[in-house]
Amino acid sequence: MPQVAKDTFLIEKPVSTLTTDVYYATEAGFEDLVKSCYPLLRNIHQNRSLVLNGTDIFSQGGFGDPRFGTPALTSGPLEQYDVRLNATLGDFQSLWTLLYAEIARTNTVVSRADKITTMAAALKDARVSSQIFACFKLFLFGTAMG
Amino acid sequence: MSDCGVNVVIKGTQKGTSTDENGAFKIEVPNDNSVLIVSFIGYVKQEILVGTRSIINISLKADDLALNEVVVVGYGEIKKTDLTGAVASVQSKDIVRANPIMASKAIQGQVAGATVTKQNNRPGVGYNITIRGENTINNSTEPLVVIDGLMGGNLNNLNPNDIQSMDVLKDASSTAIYGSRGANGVIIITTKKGLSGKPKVSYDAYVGVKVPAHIPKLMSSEQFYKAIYTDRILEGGTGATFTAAETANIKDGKTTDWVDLITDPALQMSQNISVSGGNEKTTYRFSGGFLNENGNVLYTGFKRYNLNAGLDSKLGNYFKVGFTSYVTYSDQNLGSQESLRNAYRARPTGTAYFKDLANPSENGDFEVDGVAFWMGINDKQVPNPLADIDPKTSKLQTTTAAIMSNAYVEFTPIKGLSLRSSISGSYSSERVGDFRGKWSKSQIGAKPRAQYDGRIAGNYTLDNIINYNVDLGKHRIGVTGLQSAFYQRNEAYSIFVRDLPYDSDWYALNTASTIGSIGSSLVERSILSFMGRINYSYADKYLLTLTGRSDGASQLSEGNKWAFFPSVAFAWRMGDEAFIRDLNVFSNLKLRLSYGQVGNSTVNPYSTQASLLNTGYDFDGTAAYGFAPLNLANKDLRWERSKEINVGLDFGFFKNRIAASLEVYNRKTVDLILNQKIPTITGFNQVIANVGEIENKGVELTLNTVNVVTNDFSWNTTLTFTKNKNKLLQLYGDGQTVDKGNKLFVGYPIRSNFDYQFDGIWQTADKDLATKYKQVPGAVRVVDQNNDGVISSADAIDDRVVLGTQLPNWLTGITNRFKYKSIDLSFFMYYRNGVQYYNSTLSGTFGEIGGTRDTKLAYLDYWRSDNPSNTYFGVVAANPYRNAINYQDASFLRISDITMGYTLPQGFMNKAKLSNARFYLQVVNPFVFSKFTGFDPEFNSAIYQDDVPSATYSLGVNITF
Repeated sequence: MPQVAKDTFLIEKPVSTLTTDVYYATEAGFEDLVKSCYPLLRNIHQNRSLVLNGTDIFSQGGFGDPRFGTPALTSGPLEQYDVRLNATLGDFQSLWTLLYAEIARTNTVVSRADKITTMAAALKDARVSSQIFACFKLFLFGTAMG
Repeated sequence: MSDCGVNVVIKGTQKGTSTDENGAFKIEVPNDNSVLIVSFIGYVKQEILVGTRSIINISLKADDLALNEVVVVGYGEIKKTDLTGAVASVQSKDIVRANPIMASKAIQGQVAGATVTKQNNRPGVGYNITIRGENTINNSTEPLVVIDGLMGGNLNNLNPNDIQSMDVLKDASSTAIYGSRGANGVIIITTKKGLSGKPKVSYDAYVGVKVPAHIPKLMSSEQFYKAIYTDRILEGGTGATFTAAETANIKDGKTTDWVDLITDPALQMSQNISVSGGNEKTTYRFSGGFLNENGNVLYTGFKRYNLNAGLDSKLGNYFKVGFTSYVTYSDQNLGSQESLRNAYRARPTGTAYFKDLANPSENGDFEVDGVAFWMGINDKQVPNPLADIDPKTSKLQTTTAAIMSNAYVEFTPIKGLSLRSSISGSYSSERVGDFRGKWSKSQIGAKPRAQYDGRIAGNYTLDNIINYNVDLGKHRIGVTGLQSAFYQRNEAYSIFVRDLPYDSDWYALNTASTIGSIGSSLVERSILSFMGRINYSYADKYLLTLTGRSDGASQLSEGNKWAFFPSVAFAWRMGDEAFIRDLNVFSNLKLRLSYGQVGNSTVNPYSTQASLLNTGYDFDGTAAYGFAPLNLANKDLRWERSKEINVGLDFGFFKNRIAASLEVYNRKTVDLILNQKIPTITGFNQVIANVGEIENKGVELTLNTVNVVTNDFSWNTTLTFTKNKNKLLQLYGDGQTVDKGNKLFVGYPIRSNFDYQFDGIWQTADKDLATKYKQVPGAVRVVDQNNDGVISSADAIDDRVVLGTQLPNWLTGITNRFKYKSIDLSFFMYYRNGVQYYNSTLSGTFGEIGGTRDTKLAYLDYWRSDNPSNTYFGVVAANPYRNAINYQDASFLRISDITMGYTLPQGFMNKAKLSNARFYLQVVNPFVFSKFTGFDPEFNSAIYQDDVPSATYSLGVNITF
């Protein structure tokens, strides 16, 4: 029966729905995939308790600091560095989820690149390396923060 | 053999007798030419010329008709006696007896194992059918419907009068021949065909009136005033405010019955005519039907027109060809979508017509076509139901044109061998128009809006079937082979616009100044199949059926496209064994045993491919839209698969005056498709995967009894009993047993109700304890399951429990048929036990006794300081656990119909050259008994977008000549 399965009768040809297999095989689709890697960076930076912590604007300042005599009740584990600072912390969960999502997207760029044959080689290399670089930055960044 | 109770009548007279316990009888005959008619149930009726004999020995011959009854099993039919699986049939006379609008209604209570539930009370609305419980969580449980070979037909497009039989394949051994589409059971519809003989014309019609009935009583002005003013003040709250117009109505004892204002008795009518006949070579049947079911809510109704033609012809000795063509056009008009809800909410103190309003400026009221738009009530939430119901203002019309046709050619080169090719196609075009005018509830003075939706569905099934039957004395072998292709395409479009300049329904969308949304889509799917079946019987006592079907489907990924579904069934006609026959107890005894695997073709088209998510970004001021993968594709997705064991026993006593079928089954469905959580390291949170497991176990009984049979009088009964127990065995494959968000619990049925358990009302005497729970007297009290002094839904201390399930515990349907001379009487009762609904009548505004805006149910025994009710909460108390009161048992008993008919005397019919003429009176849904305080216990009416419950009285005629 497998030979019958090869018959076009059973091949799905989505028309109204765009799918990754169809679209990323095209040059325009590949470009759009690369573009889609950028918006997540914005979401990643919005996890400001981790991403922007340490700057004057995004720290709780004196009120959470154990060196002061009146630690505020609201001071978080990121300031206190106590036992609450562990993998179950929502801040970590949300940041790492986004980081992994970004890594998955950039990996998709790398893995789909081989099938794109119409694109100028230099341009393709630029697209792929920009993603590898972005991903590497993320990796360093993730290990530093997490 | 001597038989007691055999009827002996002298032909042409009323004179008769019956045999005594020795099988003897005595009768005086007027002359030698007298003819005796000898009849007994299960035996052939005989006419015997007396002549000069004074002693006559008569031997009865068993009526083979019952034994030769055939059952349609898919790609063929089989004698009922040879059946090895679990199949239930409903024949034409039982399909049309109660004049159902939709054929699916005829299955309710008449097929053991099927649960048939009305969707709602609106005209032209169908039924939900599940067979042997629900074996999927997020996907459809609708059985596969095969109409004259056409896969995936729509039951609602059929005129019940055109159906010869509905055969319901229940166990997996029977449905395995439909492979990946068999898991929800299969309903095979065979439409009527012509028989050779002189042309037969049948005319069947009825006309009746449907009247609103069983509507829960709503509050009168006085009751309403007491509840929202007097009692609120009594309990320390503030009384509601009323306009002068309302106060005047309350003082005068005037109650506006809004439901009555927007409903009326409605006409029901059906007319059917058919012509059939033919000769030895060619048979034909043509029929036409018209149905008109008006709704009780004004300006609603459903009209259906059918035209059906079929022809079968033998060409020479080897070929047979035939076709059927079925055309349906229906027009469902549901009018206003809001007026019934408005009527269910509007205060009884309101005023319907503007002219009756003394001071409209008090509440800023105004006139729209004679009605007071705000009903003299100072509230701008609920407009006058009479405004929205105006057919100029509200239209919701669905028109459907559907064609189903089938053509075949059959070649029989030698005896026992046949080759058949058939093509069946269907095309249906459904159009939905939705218009809401300026004074509809959704617009309230804004310009009209309209929506125009279309759905075009087309499919074809191509079957090539080879059949070979060989009879070798004791061995009989039948082989069926099938090659089949199925293709389906569904197109849809939708246009929604706002700000139409004038009332143009949905016919001038171009004039709208705002386009709300536009959409269109195409979905295609295809299946290729190979099926084989072997029937083997030895000595007519030992029967074996083996089937296997292999389906390849477009939805599945390359490499996983094909799936195989095997089944085996064995039957032993024990009643034919000498040692059973000699017991003289059973007139029929057959044991059946089967096992099979079937699929639930629930993988949606394109779902094994990842779809895309549109993203937006900014490259130095230039928009940079991209497409990211939306989800992770699961290329390994396969069908949900049911594995089922069935044990069946057919038995009969007293010459089959008591005949029954008992089925016991255990079905396990694995590979349920659910969203499985996956590690975020993949970049995604979840993926659809084959992970869950469900079990359905049950018992079914079908019992036919001939209770009384004499010359003039007969009484027989058909009873069906259905019990199914559903249990979730596994969720996501990771050991998780509780999913509170989706109300799924391993070890419990799916569709469970999970909430706090109602424990009465907090009473004044328990005030201290109530305070501890932060509650007040008059509030709903719930059980503190873990006794920790806190009512909480937090994980470790959750007081919510599984309260029940929305799946029925057991069902029974009983039809009784009486016949006395030319009068017949029949009635059908249906009982459903054990469905628990979150009562949407109580949970909505009807049950909001503390609310001052809307009317309420009249009979709520609500708590007051002077009425320590323990059943319903008070008018003022805060009620955080109010929901707990809404879970109610919706068991009900319904007398579905009572029908009484009179058949004209034979002599008269002969003179008028009629072969049958019967007139009947019928009442549908006269009585419903239930503790459920809703509109209809059968379904949990959403109230919004429904019609009122009703009873129908009609007069009908069946004429054949």
